[in-house]
Amino acid sequence: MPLVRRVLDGDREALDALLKKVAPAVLRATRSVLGADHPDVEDALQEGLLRFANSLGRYQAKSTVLHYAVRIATHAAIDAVRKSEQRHRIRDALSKEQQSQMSTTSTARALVVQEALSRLLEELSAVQSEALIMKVALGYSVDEIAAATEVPRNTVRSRLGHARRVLRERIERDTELARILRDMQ
Amino acid sequence: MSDSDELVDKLLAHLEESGRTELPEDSFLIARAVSHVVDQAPLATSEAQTDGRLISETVTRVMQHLDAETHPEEERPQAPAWIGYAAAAFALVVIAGGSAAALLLTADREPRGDETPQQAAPQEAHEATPHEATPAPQQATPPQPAPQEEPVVEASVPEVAAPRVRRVRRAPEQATVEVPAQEPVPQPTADELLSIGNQARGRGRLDDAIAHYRDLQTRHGASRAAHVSRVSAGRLLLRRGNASEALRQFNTYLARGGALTQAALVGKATALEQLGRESEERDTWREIRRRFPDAPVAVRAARELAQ
Repeated sequence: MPLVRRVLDGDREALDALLKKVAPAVLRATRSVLGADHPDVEDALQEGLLRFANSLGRYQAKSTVLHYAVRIATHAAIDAVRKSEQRHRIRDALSKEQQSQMSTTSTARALVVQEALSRLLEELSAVQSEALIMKVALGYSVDEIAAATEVPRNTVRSRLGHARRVLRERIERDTELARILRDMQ
Repeated sequence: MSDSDELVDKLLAHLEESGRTELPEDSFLIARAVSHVVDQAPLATSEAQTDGRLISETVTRVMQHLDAETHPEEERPQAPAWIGYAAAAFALVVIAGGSAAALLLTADREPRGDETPQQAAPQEAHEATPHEATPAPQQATPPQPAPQEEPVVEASVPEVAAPRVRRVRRAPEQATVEVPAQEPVPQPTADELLSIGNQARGRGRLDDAIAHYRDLQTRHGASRAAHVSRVSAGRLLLRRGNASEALRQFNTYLARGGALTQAALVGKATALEQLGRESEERDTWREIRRRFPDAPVAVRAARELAQ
């Protein structure tokens, strides 16, 4: 909190130190949402850090500042996915036939899987996506997610369960995705 | 566990792996992002800090003015105030004596044939023209790593060697040599020009950085890099005292908007202040406070409006 207080008091060095402290986790959250090789990772990272800095006035220390930053960054990254034209370009560029041919390469498989995840994040609500990212990509426990998002543990479990159900339904609908996942080691 | 559940686990494993990915350029990525965000958050400072900064900036301006006369291609980092005053006094003495000495040393001096052609800085190389009598450098000096936040962009400096055989005058004892024809060098991309500009800015070469940003805007006006560069160019132009062009840069950025809107608005308010357009300046601060009420910059906006 003292560092946050210094930032709010106008200390630029404190802001720099705070951002450097949270940035690695923010980058991880961003990458997990967009995909490791997505061209918009840097923009989304910047946007996440910017939103975090601009939201510090609302920070009430109910969770750690790191969790607060990750949470904001996750939402920024999800927004970036929704706005991203890259995903649509990939989808348009790969006809089903091409996907079949290319799915023998690991890069193409990763693209298809990443696209499936992006579509999943679109189908989920923001809070469900947030819970999924924090649990799976960032390795937070249910308790930690509950503290960070200020909801009961059971709510977190419910959100995670729903996310998993949507994911399963998506795989059952998309035979190409299921085939690629089966082929993955 | 059903087949579907296993596939769900595989998909989640992919998600987990994406989050774990670490790349060599991550530290640059983070430093650059942090730098951008800090740059565009002009925070409130105490009176003492403000006074100290004003003194420092005044000394720096004096130093830069003196420096521009002696070493126009370089800029110096800021120094503590007492060093600045001492150096400024010393520089006045040096200029007076040095100018006379330079006149004596350079009078009637012919270029020596055995001198190595001086390697051009990126901007100098860029501005050279193919038909110049003197040989253009075959390979410009790669940009040096910027301190901390800027990654090195190699092979991105535009070369200007003409794609034809040219005769190069050398020293009398050397035969005329022919420079082999070269293939046209690909023009730098928008992102490369932005990186070059950012590097120049990181190294304190403000005029070079401004020139690179302008070049970027001319060549790739519709690119995202050119759009982003308008905020950086505007800030540098403000530091150079060119408020009217800075204002144009900020307004152009704001017409389309983006992640740097806050910085562009602050820059716009500052430019308007420098231009004495008080009413518009206050409108801009109000807009900042309205659009970013929880940002640290809102504190400064409130203070500016209270004045």
